[in-house]
Amino acid sequence: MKTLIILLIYLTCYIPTLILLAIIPYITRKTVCFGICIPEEAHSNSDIIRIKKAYLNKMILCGILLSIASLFPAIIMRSEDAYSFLPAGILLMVAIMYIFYFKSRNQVKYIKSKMNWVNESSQVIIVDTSFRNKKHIASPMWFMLYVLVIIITIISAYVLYDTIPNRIPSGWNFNGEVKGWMQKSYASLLWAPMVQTFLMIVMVLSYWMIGKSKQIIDPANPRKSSDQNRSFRYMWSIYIIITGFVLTIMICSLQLSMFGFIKNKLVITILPLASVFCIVVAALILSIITGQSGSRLFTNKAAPSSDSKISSRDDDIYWKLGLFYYNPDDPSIFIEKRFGIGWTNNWSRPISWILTFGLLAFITGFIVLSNTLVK
Amino acid sequence: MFLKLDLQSETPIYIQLKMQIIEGIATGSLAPNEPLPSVRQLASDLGINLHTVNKAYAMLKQDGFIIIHRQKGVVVSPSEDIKVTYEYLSQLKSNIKPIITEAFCRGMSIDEFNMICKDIFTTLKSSKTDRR
Repeated sequence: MKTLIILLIYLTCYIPTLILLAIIPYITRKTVCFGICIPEEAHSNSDIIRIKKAYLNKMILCGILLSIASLFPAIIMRSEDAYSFLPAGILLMVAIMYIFYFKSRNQVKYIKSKMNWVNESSQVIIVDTSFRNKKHIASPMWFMLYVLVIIITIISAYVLYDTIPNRIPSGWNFNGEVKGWMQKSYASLLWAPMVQTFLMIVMVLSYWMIGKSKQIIDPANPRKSSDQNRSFRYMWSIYIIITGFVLTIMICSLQLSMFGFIKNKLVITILPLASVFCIVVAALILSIITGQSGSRLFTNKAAPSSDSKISSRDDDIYWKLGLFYYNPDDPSIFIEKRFGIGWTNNWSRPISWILTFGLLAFITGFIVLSNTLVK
Repeated sequence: MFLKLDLQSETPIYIQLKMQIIEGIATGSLAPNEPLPSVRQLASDLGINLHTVNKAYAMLKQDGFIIIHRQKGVVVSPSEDIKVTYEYLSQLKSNIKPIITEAFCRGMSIDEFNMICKDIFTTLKSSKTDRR
């Protein structure tokens, strides 16, 4: 049983995460390489190809060694504490990714200055005025499904209150055995709807960020670029909505197991793992399909008015370490990442810091509150 | 439509923005009553100061090309609202005078000058019919 669980964790969490981290250079925009602006033609440059390949190989090799090393204690140690090495393994993997990233970034930077790829042609910005009038994000009404599940969770707890045993489990270990118990009370039944509401707030925030984020259109081919960008947002907004929904339902089922309606140990351990697996793998597949900003979408469509002479503006100076965007002249708050899939903040805007610290405070407050509820 | 701004151009950005939108209306890539992005949204997408966009929108509103509603946001004016007015005519005369003066000074004839005007008019007209 234990080996099976460990193997499952390995397959569900480590492998997809490792693949996702390793293929990042291949799914970013063609005009960016390790956070450095390069001309689109430069992608066939042998040095660039070599750097990307080296990163991929190093990442996969180190990732596999690291994941085996962090799974090892869980296999040989009998104590439950051994499992705490597992999330640490993922964090280490991300840390190693950044080390390789910085090395590759420096190499690309060197090649860029050597080859004189500094953008001397005109610096043009393109904006589609009807970008947000066309389909670019899923309807926010889907979040009503969340509300529905939350209401069902609350109502079921109060309707079934009398049939719920007095002592309810407060957690399980990886083997599906109950870790701790708590007294039944109306307050302790609030735990599940609270987590669900918290999750919904986070998901709505992410959804809002996708809609608000700055449109970046490739001047070489504006129409295609705009279509790619909108489809990318649409697909990821659906991903966000579905992910949150799956987790909300999972929490609902967790509550049912707390009440003793689900007793099967396998269901208690496998269900969360299966959900995580689906979420991570879906992210991986979607990343490969879309690429950052939809750069891998509609690539078979011939570019009708491709004008390679105009290139997008070289904004390397605003990207600190190629990771953090800091541009006081830019009023936008959210912008697409340069390394990886998704969006990040413009750190020169105070609202970015307020949102980040607000969210951190919110999470901390939530953990404290849920701990007092469980006790 | 696609707005295209050149950051290195000598023409100020708000003028570029204004001219692009007028051109969009002229060629039909911006339809009458078509919604335009809000000042904040456009500034953020372009990565330029809010005041720059505000200035361009204010001038366009003044000249009757766009309408800024409090609730509906910014929309392109209906075509019957965009017409030759008395103020526009006097403005046109004073604006075109230095251009003609320079052409005259360089020895350009009326026909040569008219030719250029005609070319520009036909290009605009043909790109408008292309859209339909």
